[in-house]
Amino acid sequence: MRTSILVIYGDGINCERETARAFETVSAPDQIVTHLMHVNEFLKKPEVLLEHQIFCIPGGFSFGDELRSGKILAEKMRTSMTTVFEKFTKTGGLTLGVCNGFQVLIQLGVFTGIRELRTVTLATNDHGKFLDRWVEVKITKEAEKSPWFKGMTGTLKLPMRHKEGRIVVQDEKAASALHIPLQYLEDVNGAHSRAAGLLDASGQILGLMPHPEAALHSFLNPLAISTEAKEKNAMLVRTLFQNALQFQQAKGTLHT
Amino acid sequence: MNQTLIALPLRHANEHENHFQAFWVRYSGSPISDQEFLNLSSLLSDRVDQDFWINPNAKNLHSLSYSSLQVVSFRPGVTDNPASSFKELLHIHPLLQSRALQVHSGEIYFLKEGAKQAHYNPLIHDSKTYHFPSPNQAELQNKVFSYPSPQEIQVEKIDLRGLNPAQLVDLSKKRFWALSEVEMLVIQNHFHERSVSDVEIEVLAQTWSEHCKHKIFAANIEYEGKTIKSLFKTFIEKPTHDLQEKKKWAISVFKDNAGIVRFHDDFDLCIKVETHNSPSALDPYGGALTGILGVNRDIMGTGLGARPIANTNVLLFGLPNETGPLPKGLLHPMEIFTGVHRGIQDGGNKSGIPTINGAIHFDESFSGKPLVFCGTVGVLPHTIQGIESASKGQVPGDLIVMVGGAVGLDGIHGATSSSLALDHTTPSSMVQIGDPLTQKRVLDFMMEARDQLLYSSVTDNGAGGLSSSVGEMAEQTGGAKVFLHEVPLKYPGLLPWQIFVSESQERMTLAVPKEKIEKLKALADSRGVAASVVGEFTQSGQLEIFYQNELVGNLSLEFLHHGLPKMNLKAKWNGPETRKTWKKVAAKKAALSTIQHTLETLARDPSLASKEKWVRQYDHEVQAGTALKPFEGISPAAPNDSGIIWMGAHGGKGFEGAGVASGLCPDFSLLDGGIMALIAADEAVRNLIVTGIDPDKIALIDNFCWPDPLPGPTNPDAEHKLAQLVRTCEQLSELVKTYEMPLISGKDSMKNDFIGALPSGESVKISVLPTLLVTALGYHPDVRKIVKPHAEAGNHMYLLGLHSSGQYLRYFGATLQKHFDIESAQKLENFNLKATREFYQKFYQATRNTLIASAHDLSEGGLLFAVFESLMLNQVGIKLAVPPEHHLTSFLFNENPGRILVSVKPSQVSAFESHFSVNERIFIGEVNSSATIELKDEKISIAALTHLWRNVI
Repeated sequence: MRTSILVIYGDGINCERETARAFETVSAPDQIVTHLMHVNEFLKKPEVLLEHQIFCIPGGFSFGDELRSGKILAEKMRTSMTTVFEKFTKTGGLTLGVCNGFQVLIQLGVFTGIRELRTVTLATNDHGKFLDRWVEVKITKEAEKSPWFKGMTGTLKLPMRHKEGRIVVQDEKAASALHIPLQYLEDVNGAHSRAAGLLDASGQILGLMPHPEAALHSFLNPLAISTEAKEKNAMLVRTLFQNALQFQQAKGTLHT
Repeated sequence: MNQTLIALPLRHANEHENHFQAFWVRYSGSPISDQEFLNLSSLLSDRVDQDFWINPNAKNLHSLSYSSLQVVSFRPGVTDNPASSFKELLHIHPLLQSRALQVHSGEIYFLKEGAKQAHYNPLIHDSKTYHFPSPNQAELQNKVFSYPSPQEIQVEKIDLRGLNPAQLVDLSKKRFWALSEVEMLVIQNHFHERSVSDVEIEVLAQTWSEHCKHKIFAANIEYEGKTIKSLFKTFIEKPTHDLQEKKKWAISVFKDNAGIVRFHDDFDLCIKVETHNSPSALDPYGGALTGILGVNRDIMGTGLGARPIANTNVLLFGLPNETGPLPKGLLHPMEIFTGVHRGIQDGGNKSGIPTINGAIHFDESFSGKPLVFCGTVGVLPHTIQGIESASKGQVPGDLIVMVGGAVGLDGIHGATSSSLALDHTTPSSMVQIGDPLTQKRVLDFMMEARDQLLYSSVTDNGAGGLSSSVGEMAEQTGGAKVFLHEVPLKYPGLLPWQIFVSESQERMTLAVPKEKIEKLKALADSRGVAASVVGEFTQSGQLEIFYQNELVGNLSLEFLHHGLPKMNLKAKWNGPETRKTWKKVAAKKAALSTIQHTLETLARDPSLASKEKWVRQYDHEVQAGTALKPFEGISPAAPNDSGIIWMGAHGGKGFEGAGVASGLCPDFSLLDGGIMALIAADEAVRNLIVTGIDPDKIALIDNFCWPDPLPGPTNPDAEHKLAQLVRTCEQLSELVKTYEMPLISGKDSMKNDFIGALPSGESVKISVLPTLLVTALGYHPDVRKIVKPHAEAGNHMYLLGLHSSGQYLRYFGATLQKHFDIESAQKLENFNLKATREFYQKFYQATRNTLIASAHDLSEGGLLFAVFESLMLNQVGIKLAVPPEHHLTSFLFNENPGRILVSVKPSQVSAFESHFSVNERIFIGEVNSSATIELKDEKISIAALTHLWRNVI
C-alpha cells in the first residue's frame, strides 16, 4: 500500500513543489503518491483528506498575508473542514505545516484544541524584519512522543525565512500546555521559550517556522561547517520525512 | 450602503500603541450593529495579542492625551492589497457572505502635542489630520469612497492636417506622447486623408516610444567618419548571430520576451533583465515591486510560458548620507533605497521566487533617477505534449484573452513618460503598486493551462498595456480585432484609449483557439483568476479597435511596426572626463596614507560595504534549489560571487546547476565607455568562472542606462554621450566575439536625467553616469563542487591572471580616486581578450581537477579588498608577499579585469603550479590563523575590519 500525501497549493502558497519533493527524495517511487491539490478544490471537497495519510500545508504567503499571516486560509479551512480534519487526525493522519503552513495551523488553533479559545499565536519577529538565515534547533524531549521525530536526537540545521514567526502565548497556563519539539539554540526572533515549532497533543500535527524541505541536501547548506557535518545534518532532516512515511506504512490502511 | 470603520492596532516591537491599520467597510443590505461587528473579532483580529476597535471614538481617545490624529490612506484608484485581503476575510462570515462589499484601507496615527506627522507619499496617499478635542467623528468613520471622477466617454478625433511643425511638437508635449517632430510629421502625412482618433495616436505613441522601439539603438549614427547603421544590429545582434553556429544552445535570441538557452537535456532556461527607474524615483516601493513583478511576467510570457526560478536585482542610488540640499521634488536617496528594498523584498518573497544575486551601488549621479535593474531566470520544458515550447503559435481566428487584474487609470503613459526626463510635470498616474498575490494566481493558472495546451501563445502586458501586447502578437497572425468594452475595469469611466494603453499590473494576454475557450475559462474561474475574451486575431493587416459598436481605431500593422522613421544622429567623443557634480561644491579628497587607512576607507564606502542586513530580508532559497547563496556562514557571514540554482529542483537530473552573476562599473564610463564595457562584462563572466562554471556555456544579457544622448537645448554634450554609447557597444561586441559568449537578451533606458531646481531656485540637471549592466547566465556541471571565495588556514594564496612586468607600475582604477587624491591611468593596458578567454578555459579545467580550494574575483578595491573578503568567513590571516618589482599601491588596489584570487591546498600546490604558468600566477602568501593581514610594517585586524564593513549602511 502506497502512502498518500496531500499537498495543497494556490492562492499564494509557494513551497508546494519542494514539499512534495521532500517525500519523493526520501522514498522509493513505488512507496508513495504525492497529490498536489489546489486550495479551492480542497476547500470544496475537504473529505478528500480522508483518502490520504499525510497532509501538508506548505510555506508561502497564502492570500497575500496582508493581515495576520495564515489567517484567511485558516478561517476558510475552519468553516469547511474542521470535522474532517479532526477525523483525519483521530484515525492516524499526520499533518505538517511549514512556515506559512504553521501560521495557518496556529490560526486554526490546532495546538491548543481546534474548538477551544486560542491562546498561542505567531507575531512579528522582535527585530521587525523578514530574515533568511540558517538556524540550529535542538530536538527536545517533548519531540520523542511524536511519530515525526521517532529516534531523532541532537540538533537540526535549517533555513528560517519569515517575518512573522515569533511564538507568543497568552499567559503562563497557555505556555504550560504547549508541546515544543524544537528550540532555537540562539534567540533569533524573540519566540517564547525559543520555540521554533509546536506539536499538538497527539503528536501527529507538526508546525514549524524553519524549512526542513529546503535542507535535504548537503550542497544547499551555507554554514561554515565541514562537508561531513553537512551530510550528517541532511540525513537527520530526511529522517523527519522518512518517519512520517514509516509511521503510515507500519499502520497500514487503517482509515481508508 | 452602510459603512463601518474597523481599526486594528499595529503593534511592532519597541513601538507605542498609537498606530492603527484601518479598514473602512461599506456593505449592502441591512445595517450591522457595532456589537455584531465586535462578535467578529476572532475572525478579523488575533485574540491572543491584537485589539480590535469598531468605529473608535475619537473623544475617548483624546483622554489618552493625544492631540490629533492623522489618517493616511491610498488615493482613489491606487492598488490596495490590504483591503482586498480584508474583503476576502469578511466574506468568509455568514453575516457578510452574500453582501456586496467595498473596503478601503489606511493607517491612523494618534499624535501627541508637537509630534511629527507620519510620512507619506502624496503621489499615492491622501493624508488628513483631525485635531482634538473635537475631530469630526462622522467624517473619520465615513471616509468617502471615491474613485477617479467618471469622465464622459468619448473618442476624440484629432485633425493633424494643416498643423505646422511647431504646433505638432506642442501637441505631442501637451499630451505626453513623447513623439518627436519628425515622428509627428510622419503621422501627419499618414493621416492626410482623415483625422486620427485619440486611440490611434496613443497606440502609435506607445509603440513608437523609446521604451518600446529602442530608437537610439536603431538610429544611423555618424561617428569618426563612418555611419553605423544601428548599434543594435551592428554590435549586439550580429556578433551573437555569428556565434550561433557554434553555440547551438542559444536557441532564441532577441525575438521573444526573454532570451532562451538550452544547457540541459529536458528543459531550457530563459532570462530577462529590465529597468524600472522612473517609477522607482516617484514611488520607490511600488516602482521596484512592479519592476520585479513585471520582469517575472516577461518570463511567464516567454515561449509558451516559463516558470520563474530566480530573481536578481542591481540597484544604484544617490549617496545614503547625502546632506546637500536636494532639488525640489526629489526623494532622499535613503528613502528611495529603503522603499525600493521593500519592493524587491515583497516582489520576490511573496511570489515564491528566490532573490539570488544582485548589487547595490551608490553615487551622487544617481540622486536624480535611481537605476533599478530587475532580472528573472525561468525554466521551460523543451516540449509540451510534443509542441516546441520555445515558440509561439497564435493563428488567425484565435481569441485574444486577457487574464489577471482589471484595468484602471494607473500606469497611463508609463512607456512614453519613461522616454522623457523627470520634471515637475511628470504625471502621477505613472505610479503603481503591484499585487503579488494576483500575479501568483495567474502564474499557477498559466502553468496548468500551458501543460494542457489550452492556449497557443502568450505575452505579458507591460509598457503600453494591451495596445502593445496585442499589437506585437498581431504581427505574427497579420491582424487583430479588439473590443475595448469587453475589458474588465477597476471602476467605470475610462476612455477607450485609456483602456487600451493602461499599464495596470498583473495581466497576461493569451491567444486561445476557439474550441478551448470554455475549458480555459473554467480553469481560470476555479483558480480565482479573471479571464476575458477581448478580441480575435485576424489576417486583415489591420489593428481594428472597437468600443461598443463603433470602430474607434484602424491602424495598418505595417505602419504601426515599420512606419517609424530612423533617426540620424551624430556622435563625437571628447576623451576622458573628470567627474562632475550637480552640487555646487566638490568634496575634498585626502592624501593616501597607511594601507590600513586605505582599506578602512574602502570598507566604509557604501558601494563596497556589506549589504547583508538588507539582503537577508530577501528570501534566497524558496523553491529549495539555491546551491550558492548570497552569503556563506552566519557570524561572520561572507559574501559569495554569484547565485547558483541546482537544476534538480526544476526537473533536472543529477547535480547540474545554473549560475547568474552581474557586472557593472559606471565610474569607468568617465574614462571611456569602452573600458567600462570590458570591465563590466568581464566581471560578470568572472563571477561565474570562479565558481567552476563552464566558459563554453555562458550567455550574456546587456542593459544600458544612459543620460539622454539626443541633442536639445538642455543637452549641450549629447554627441559625447552618444559617442560613449558607441564605444561601449564596440568593446562589448569585441568581448562577445572573443569570449564566444552570445548576448541573448537586452534592454536600454536612454533618458535617465532629472531637470529641476535647487531650493535656492537655481536650475539643476542631474544625469546618471552612463551605465552598462552585464548579467551572465552559465552552466555549472556539479553543484556539489562549487568553488567559493573563502580561504582556509594552511592554504597557499595566488593572484591568477595574465600578468606583465609593467602592469602594476601605475594606478588604474576608479574606487581609490573617489576618496583619495590619486590619478588613474587613462587606458586599460595589459588586457587581452583572447588570452583571457584561454586562461578561463584553463581555470575551468583546474576546477574540474579540484586544484582550486577557493576562488574570488577581483573587482572594486582590487586585490587587497578581495583578500579581505576571502579571509572573512573563517577569520584567518595572511602575511602578504608583494613582489618587489611592483608599485605597492598599484599592486594592492588596481582594478584591472581578468584576475582571480585563489587559494590552494598544500597537497595540490605542485599540480597547481604546473597547471598555471609563471606568467599566470603570483604567489602572495600562505593563509594563517592569525586573523590579520600583515604587510610591510602594518598589521590589519580582520575582525575589526569585518566589524567596520558590516556596519556602514
